[in-house]
Amino acid sequence: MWVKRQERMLLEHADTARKHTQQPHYYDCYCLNGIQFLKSTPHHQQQYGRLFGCATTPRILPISASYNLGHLQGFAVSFQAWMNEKFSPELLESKSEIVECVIEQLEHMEENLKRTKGGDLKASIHRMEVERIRYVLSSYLRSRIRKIEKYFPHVLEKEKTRTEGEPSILSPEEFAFAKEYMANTEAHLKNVALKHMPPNLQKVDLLKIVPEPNLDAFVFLRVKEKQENILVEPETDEQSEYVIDLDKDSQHLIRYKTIAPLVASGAVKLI
Amino acid sequence: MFCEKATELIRELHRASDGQLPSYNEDGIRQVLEEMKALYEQNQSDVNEAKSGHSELIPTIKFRHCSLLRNRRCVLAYLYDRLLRIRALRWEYGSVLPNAVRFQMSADEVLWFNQYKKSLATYMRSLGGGDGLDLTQDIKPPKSLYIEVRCLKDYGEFEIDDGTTILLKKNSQHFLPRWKCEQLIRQGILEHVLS
Repeated sequence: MWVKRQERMLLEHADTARKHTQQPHYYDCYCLNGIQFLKSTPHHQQQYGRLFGCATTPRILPISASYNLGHLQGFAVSFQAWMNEKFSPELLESKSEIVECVIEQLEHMEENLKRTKGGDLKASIHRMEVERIRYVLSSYLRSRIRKIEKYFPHVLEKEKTRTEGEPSILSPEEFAFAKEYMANTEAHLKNVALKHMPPNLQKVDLLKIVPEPNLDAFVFLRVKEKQENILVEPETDEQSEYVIDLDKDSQHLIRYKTIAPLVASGAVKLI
Repeated sequence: MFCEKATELIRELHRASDGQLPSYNEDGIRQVLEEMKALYEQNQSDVNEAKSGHSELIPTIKFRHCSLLRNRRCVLAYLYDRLLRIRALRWEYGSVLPNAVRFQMSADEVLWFNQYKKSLATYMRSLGGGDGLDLTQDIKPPKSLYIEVRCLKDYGEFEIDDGTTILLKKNSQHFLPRWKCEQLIRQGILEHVLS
């Protein structure tokens, strides 16, 4: 109810503002500090609404128009990166440039907010926006850290066998974290138990005892670019392999392994 | 029966409901390790016998070896699962653990926890400029800017963003910015009032 009222006030405000200025208007899409955010497909809006509990996407007025389109794309891309990371069973490629861009943007916005007076309606809505973006960012980094901790030997192994020129799946900071985590855990197991075991049992291959990411897990996805001739490998011995076409905007439930390269290239997105 | 003690360790963890950390069973671990030592010694002498022609001993040796492997697996699983639970505590309580939990941990586990704390802090500090980003905040998607909280303990003065201070007294209710009180809620000082 409160949000509804706020929104109506803002719309009235927007109308007056429109009369007085010749600025471009963004009122019919989601807009943030004068830039369009998630120039939304209805699907995005739905996701956003479901997540943050607002039935309609809010419409707000710019506080300052000092942001360029690059930042905006940063948000939209980070939103996608976050969803992919959340739904994929394995650790995806690190998107550290996007993370940096979003962090920078957040700091900038918080600076701006500090300069506003208390009790300003616009400021509180922008504050909410900052909170939401920060949630997406933290949640993204959190799910990465969780996967690194869960699959640390496999993640590090993948990093080790990576050929030159191939993008790393870990950012340098994450790599340092993973290495420390591995050393720490190994040392603990060794000191407490392995050291006291018979000599032929003291060596343990962490790659074998820590579970691997389940690449056969099923994921929901939406197709962004039409794909043809995707080979689906048989799941059991009785089945035979076959190929499928993925039409643009169609949605599928499929084993992650089959479409993993498409997620990496951005041709499909996980939902 | 071989491996009984080891299975008992696993059962103990299994019985403790999600996220609970039962006290470290040092005695259990020691007993399993002793059993392993005994099994290993028996195997050593039997292997020597078998080499000198007693091939009927081979199945026994194999059986003992399997028991050894199983024991090792159970001990490692026990330790590793405890580490995962301790890790979860770091995310729940922050870097300082309540005493009740600390008593349940062994000295080595405290060591591991401190290391983990350090690695995580280094990582979080490296995010962005300045103080970094605290990933243990913002666990749930924000639904509103302010939330209603009830104070469960006397906490004292508490400063909010705009510089005003409020007094957090037991049983008082406040309408506060969510990002300010998330930590206090998790520490059990404030309670989110849902109505």
